[in-house]
Amino acid sequence: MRRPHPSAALRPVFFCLALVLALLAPGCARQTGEPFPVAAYLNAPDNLQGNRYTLEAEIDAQLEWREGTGRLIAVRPLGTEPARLPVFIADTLGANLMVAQRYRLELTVRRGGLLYVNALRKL
Amino acid sequence: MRLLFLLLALPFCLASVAPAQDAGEPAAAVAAPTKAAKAAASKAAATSAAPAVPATASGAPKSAAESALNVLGTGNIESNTLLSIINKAFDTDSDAFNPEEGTVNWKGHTYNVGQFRVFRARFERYLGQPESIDQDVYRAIVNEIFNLLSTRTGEAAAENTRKAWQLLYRASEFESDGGASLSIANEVFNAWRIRDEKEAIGVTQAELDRIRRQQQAAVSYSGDLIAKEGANVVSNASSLPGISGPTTNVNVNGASGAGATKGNTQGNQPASGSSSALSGSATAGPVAQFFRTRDLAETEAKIKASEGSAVITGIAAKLQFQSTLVTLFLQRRFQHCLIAASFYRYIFKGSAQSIEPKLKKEISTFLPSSDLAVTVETLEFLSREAMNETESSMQGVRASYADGQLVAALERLQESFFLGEFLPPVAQFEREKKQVLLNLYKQVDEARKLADLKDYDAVDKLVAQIGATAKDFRTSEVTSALRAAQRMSTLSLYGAQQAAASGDFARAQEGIQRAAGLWPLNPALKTYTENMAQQVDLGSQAAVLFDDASKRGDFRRIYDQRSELAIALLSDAVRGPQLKEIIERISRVEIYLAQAKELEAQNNAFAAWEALDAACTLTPNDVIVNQRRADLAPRVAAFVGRVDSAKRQEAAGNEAAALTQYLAAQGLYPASSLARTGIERVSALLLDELTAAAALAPARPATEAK
Repeated sequence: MRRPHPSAALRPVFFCLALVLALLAPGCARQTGEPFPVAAYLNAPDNLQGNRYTLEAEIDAQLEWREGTGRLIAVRPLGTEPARLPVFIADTLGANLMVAQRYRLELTVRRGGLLYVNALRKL
Repeated sequence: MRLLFLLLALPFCLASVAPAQDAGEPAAAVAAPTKAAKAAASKAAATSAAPAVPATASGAPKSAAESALNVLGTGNIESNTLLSIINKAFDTDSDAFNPEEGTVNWKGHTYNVGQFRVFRARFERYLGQPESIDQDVYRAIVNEIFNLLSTRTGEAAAENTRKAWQLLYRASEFESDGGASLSIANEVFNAWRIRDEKEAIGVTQAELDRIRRQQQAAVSYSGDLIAKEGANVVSNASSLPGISGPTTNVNVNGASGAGATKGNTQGNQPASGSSSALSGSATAGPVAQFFRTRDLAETEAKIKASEGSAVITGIAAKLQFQSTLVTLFLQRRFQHCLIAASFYRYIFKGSAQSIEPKLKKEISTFLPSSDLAVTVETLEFLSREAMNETESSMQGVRASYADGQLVAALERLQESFFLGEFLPPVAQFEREKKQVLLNLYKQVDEARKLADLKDYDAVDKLVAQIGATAKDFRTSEVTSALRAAQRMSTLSLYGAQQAAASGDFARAQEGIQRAAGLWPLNPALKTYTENMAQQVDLGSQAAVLFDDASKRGDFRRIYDQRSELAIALLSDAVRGPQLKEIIERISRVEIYLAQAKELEAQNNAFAAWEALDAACTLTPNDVIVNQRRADLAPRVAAFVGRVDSAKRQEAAGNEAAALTQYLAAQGLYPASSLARTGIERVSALLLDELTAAAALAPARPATEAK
């Protein structure tokens, strides 16, 4: 009898690991690009419409919540001048947010300057 | 011719002979001489008989009254009855003076003293009239007349009556006499003249009666003679030798005729007439007899005419004199009525004292019973009573005046004046007292006029003056009545004001009319009407002002004139509510301004600015608010910039950007209510949009799949 290759025993482990990663990949933020320009946004939010940014911020307060739609959250950007920015986090993201938690947010500047969070990851 | 001679000779006979024709007349009554008749034409001649001894003012009437009672006899049943009736008639309670109708009611009779103005003028003239210096002389003359006419001096009645008659002419020269004495004098003279005529008629009647008797005898004798001659002719015709028969018969008859002649010779002239008639008859035939008969008939007719004339003349004289008596009485010239009655008594006989039925009606109102026999004495009693009453009334006037009860004195004097205007007690009232009463009279009259005009303030002052003068003037009653009227007027005005405030203008108008009716010169009424006029003026101006300020958003100006505008636009259904809303709004602005001021003081510029911003939302154009905001803006510029930006983004529909700005503003001033409310409002809007978008999301992939 042919003696199995030692790496063959690890194949199911790698497979499972790959599967888990594949399953977790959509809910995790991915570093997609440039950081969010807070000052530019505060001065002229219309100029940033349609852009996608990454923002690391701390949860400051929940401004409004509408069940089935999502919530408006005020966050404080990390590493920049003190400011508070409103972001929308859809319920579909299934995030559990609490004040003072820090997240990396992948967001899009939508019409009207709405910072729409596409993905987030706790830091 | 003989008759004519007799008539011409009659006055001369009367001058020397004074036969008492009427049994009841005193002999003195016929003593009115023809010379006195001439003197009547000239007053100057009559005035020469001035009274030697002046009598007292009251003595003469009193003695005259006593004399009258003596004449009547106090125990006489008729006189007692008369006195009793007069006492009943003289019920003092029935006296009344009615100035409104200008009448004086005295003893049941109403004297018409003319129109009220005339009455007032007469009384005022009396009060202002000075005492006449001739009054004493006049009074003395009148008293002398009374003395002369007194029945006490009956033994010299003829001479006294003549003297009294002459004094009447002197009395008539005085102004206060009013010519009444002259009327009496003329009436007396007229009565005397009529009496003379009546006496002449009496003489004529006697002569005519004598002639008639002669004519009757002549006619009778001639008739007998003719009858005898006719019988002789018949007998001669039957026996021719009897030619001397007639001569014998004539002689026989001549003897009888001589007897007649003898009887006639005892008379004077008619004797010869009769003789001639007798001698004539011897030759006269039937024709002469006819003429004699006709003369007799004529004489008979003349006698009848003379008798009728005498009767008519007597009645006319009595009626005329009594008319004068009644007229004097009704004119309230009671003294002259007494004088005339005295003359009447001497001139006319006792049986002629009853008043003629034609005149009774005039004085019947003075008497309680229509069955009373009205005589000249009745008028005397009534006149005397009026004089006595005037005298006692004037005593009352003086007593009231002495006590300071001037109102009572004035009232009594007024009554006395209109009853005894021409009597001495009224005329003798002192000038200075009359002057005081005249002033009081004018003041009371003025107060009455002012009260009619409802000038209560002036009445009040005048009443105080009157009260200070006359202590019996009812000042308190008048004052309380004035106060009541004034109070009622003011209350009506208050009621009207309340009614106007509640919008009941009909009742307000009614109240004002009532207030003006009660007291037209009410000062409160004047003030109210002036305010009303100003309000009407302001009302028209206020509408323009309000519309202009409201259009420009200048609510501050409206607020500053809110009091005037509130009154002016009270009844304005459109502007009234708008004014109320503006006043409330600016009141809140004022609160914000005060709050901002306090916050500034606490160095809380953001809060102060927020207060001013709240005020600005109420009045965007308010100068004060904007000025304060401008003052504060540099201190809160960043915050204001964020808020302003947020509002602009919100207005543009960029809720997310607005939310960002609100959050930024809140970062600058965490306690900002502006930011908080903005965040809440914009967040809700934003989620609404996102919810709507999520609802549309399932369709989108399908769209994107295409």
